[in-house]
Amino acid sequence: MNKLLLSIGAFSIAFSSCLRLDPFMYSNTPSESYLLDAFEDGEITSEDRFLIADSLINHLQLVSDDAGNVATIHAFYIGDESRIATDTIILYCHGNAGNIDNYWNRAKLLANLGSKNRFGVLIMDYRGFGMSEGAPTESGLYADVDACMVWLKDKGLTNDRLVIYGFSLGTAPATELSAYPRTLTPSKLILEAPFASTQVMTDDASGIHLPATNFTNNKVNNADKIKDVKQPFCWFHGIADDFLSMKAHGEVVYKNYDGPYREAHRVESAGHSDLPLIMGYDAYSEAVLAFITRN
Amino acid sequence: MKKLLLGCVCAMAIASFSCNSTRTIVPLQKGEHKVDFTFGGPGIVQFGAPMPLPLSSINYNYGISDKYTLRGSLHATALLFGVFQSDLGYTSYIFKQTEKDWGITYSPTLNLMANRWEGDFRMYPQIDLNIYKRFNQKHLLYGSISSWFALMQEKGHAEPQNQHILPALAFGYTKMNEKWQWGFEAKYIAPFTSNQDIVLNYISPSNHGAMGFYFTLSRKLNYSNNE
Repeated sequence: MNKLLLSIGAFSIAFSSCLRLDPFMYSNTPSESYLLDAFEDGEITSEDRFLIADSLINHLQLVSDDAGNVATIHAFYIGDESRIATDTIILYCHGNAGNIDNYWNRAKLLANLGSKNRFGVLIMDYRGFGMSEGAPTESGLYADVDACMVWLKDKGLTNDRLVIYGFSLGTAPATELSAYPRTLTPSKLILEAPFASTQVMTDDASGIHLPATNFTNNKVNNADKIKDVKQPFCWFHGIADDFLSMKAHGEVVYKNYDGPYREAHRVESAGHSDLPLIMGYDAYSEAVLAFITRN
Repeated sequence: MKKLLLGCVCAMAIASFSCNSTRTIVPLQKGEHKVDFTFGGPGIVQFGAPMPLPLSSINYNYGISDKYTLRGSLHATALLFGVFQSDLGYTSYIFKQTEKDWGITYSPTLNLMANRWEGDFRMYPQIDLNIYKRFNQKHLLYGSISSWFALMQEKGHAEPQNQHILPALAFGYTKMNEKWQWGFEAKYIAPFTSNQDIVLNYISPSNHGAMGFYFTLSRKLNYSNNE
């Protein structure tokens, strides 16, 4: 019996591995180029009225430094760069699927809020997504979005004219950089279909409260970080979201917000990725516009 | 478009460590040792194809008497991810009918897990109630009702943990040879828990729970010829 116990102990030590699932948390699609309007499998469809003039589509390459892990990331600025010093800018942090192509129609929608190109929109691919170098990591997400802020600040953007918008995975850097600003402090925060934390994902999936640390070092925790957000906050969530349940994820984030102003848009019949479509592009645009222009 | 993530599959593999197969159904005879290797887990649909989560465990059984068999398990897949998970318990008879070779047994178990990353520890009691029938000492059919008990009152972010009992219903077959045994088991896990609006598509006959599929290979280390 003693031999057996010793054997089990030895086996445990020998085979206890450092495997982590963090690299598998991302559903990034690397690419050699971007299709933009020609991409046919986007998160939402588009309409001709949202087309952007080629002259206002600026393909950027930015250097992102994540504690010495330097990567060149790709981004698109939709708008006139020369007006960044005076315009309000929406920094759009996309979700986990694919790359910028998947979210191009969403970015165009934001570039048409109120009127065509009323607001500048910057959308980036995190490292490992699209043409951006490297592999995705949690800290990389934050560094890459901050690299965009560095570029915007260099172009003359100030805190009061920066609105940050996070969708799904993008709610992590949007919340992080609102709660704990680096280069710029966003003046407003918009979250669409946020996830509460990796812990809630684990709880949901297992039915019991197993530690998320069993499988990931990822510390994404919007539900706690939102407590440190002091900017006005707008939340969108599809009631029929069958991926990140509104009740388990979004409601917890919304409830934990303790800042000066918040508004919620719980959208009937909307799922995880189709909220603007189900809500209606006009209604969605009006809601976002009203929040951004609200004093 | 719903995008299921490979990461979520893997995450669930870990989160579903609780979903092991039914352990010893029939107590061993006094002095017998048996080692089992079990592979399988809850079924999911990923990228359009059904697959079981790749959980695995090694289980050791020892007959301390003809009525009581002690057992302990080490979860191998969990171990690869730095999670030490073990279940410890025993199996004994409630009722045994020798002539027709069937009986009812029970198995209380403690499931323990701790990870090497932050030392998070969990403990879940479990009880199994099994009914079996053997045919010619070669074939074993069994059914099992079991439940895990979640004792914690809160989930993440201090949200209330409303679900404290996770029952499961299992059916299995074991082919028994003198030294080696092998068997299959199908298990309906958490049939009263919704499987909707979560990050994974479980295979299930309803909007609740998940079907688990398991294969077990066993070897008696010193066996009794008069079984």
